[in-house]
Amino acid sequence: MKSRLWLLAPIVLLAAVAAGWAASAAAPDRSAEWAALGKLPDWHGIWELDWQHSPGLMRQAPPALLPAAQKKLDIFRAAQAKGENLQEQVANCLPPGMPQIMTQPYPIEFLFNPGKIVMVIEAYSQVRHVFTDGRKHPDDPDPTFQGHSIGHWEGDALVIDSVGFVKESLIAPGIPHSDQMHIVERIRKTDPEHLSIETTISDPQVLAKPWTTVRAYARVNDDLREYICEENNHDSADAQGRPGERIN
Amino acid sequence: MPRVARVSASTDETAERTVKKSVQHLLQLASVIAGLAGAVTAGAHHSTAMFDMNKEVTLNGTIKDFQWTNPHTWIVFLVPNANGSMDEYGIEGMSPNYLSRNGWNKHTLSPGDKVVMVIHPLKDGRKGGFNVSVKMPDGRVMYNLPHFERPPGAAPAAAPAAEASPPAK
Repeated sequence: MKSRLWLLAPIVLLAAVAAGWAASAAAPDRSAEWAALGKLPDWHGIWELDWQHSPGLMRQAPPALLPAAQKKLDIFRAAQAKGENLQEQVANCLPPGMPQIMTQPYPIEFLFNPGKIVMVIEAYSQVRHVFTDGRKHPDDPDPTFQGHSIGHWEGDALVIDSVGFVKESLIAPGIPHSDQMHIVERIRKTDPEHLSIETTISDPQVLAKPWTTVRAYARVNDDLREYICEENNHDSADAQGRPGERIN
Repeated sequence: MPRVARVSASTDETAERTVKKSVQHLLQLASVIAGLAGAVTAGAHHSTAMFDMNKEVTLNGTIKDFQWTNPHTWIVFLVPNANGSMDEYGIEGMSPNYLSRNGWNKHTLSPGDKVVMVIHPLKDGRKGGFNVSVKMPDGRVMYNLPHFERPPGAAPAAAPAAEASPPAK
């Protein structure tokens, strides 16, 4: 008698599968969102900082620092005479974070998805998630290397607003940021072979005024490659930024 | 090599041209910005502070190992010394990602290859350095760093002393 109950097992299983199927069928229909992506500018390919096509980049103004930040930078520089602060923690394979992850000499790929754009960055195998679903920043974001990014389109330009960075993500070497660093990027395609990224960094506790730079990125005729920094790293930096080289 | 072709195009800004011809700055836009800011350079992977980037040393020897790895390639190079034995050099090079886009592949060098290497030596005197170029057994020269033809007698492009001049990827 008891054993006959096992005959019901396939029926129960089928019912469960059917219920699961029904649940998945009730998931939002994103076909219109996927189709809408086809109307966005075509950024297919991979893109690398190209300063031959960044006119006047050398003449772009350096950041104007508030006195306390300037003093920090002066001390940082003075220590270089003692052999310190010559090497960054990236030598130990710590990723640079924003904004410097965007200016590495390696390409970047942009993947458009419903509600989100993903930037795959070859250097250090980094990823940035840019939410385009209309959400706001969290009130109190957990600090991360890339920050919390939200984006929207203004015509053919993607505008990305990022906040919430770890302290390791320097504005530039010797220029740390406060918890109020705010980065706005404006990205658009300027010709079939180039993107332009205008970056404005503001930080009312560090910068005397927002710092804007414009850079061109050229299409690279390749696919992204893997980059695992820990694979065979011979370089190092100690806590004072003194460089090391392992030669065996 | 489109990358080099782009770089070779001249501009009307002497300062920019000078820096553009500097390998270090070409590869390190971040460092240029940092230099403008008066800050230390921002290495892509690291600065080259441990190498003497203004000095080139030529080594005749034999490849013991060629490691096609990130974040940099690595060559173990055997060079005969005055004692009749071999000195073993550890030589860092650009990443496979960069080199594969510039004419190299994992078979470019093999153990046993007799080649002539030019390196930027380590400042501390140990046997190592950064790979500048490799003259192959058939006479071809494979450049590890971006290469610019200079007029005869022209000085190598040197990085401004204020910056740590990192080419490293």
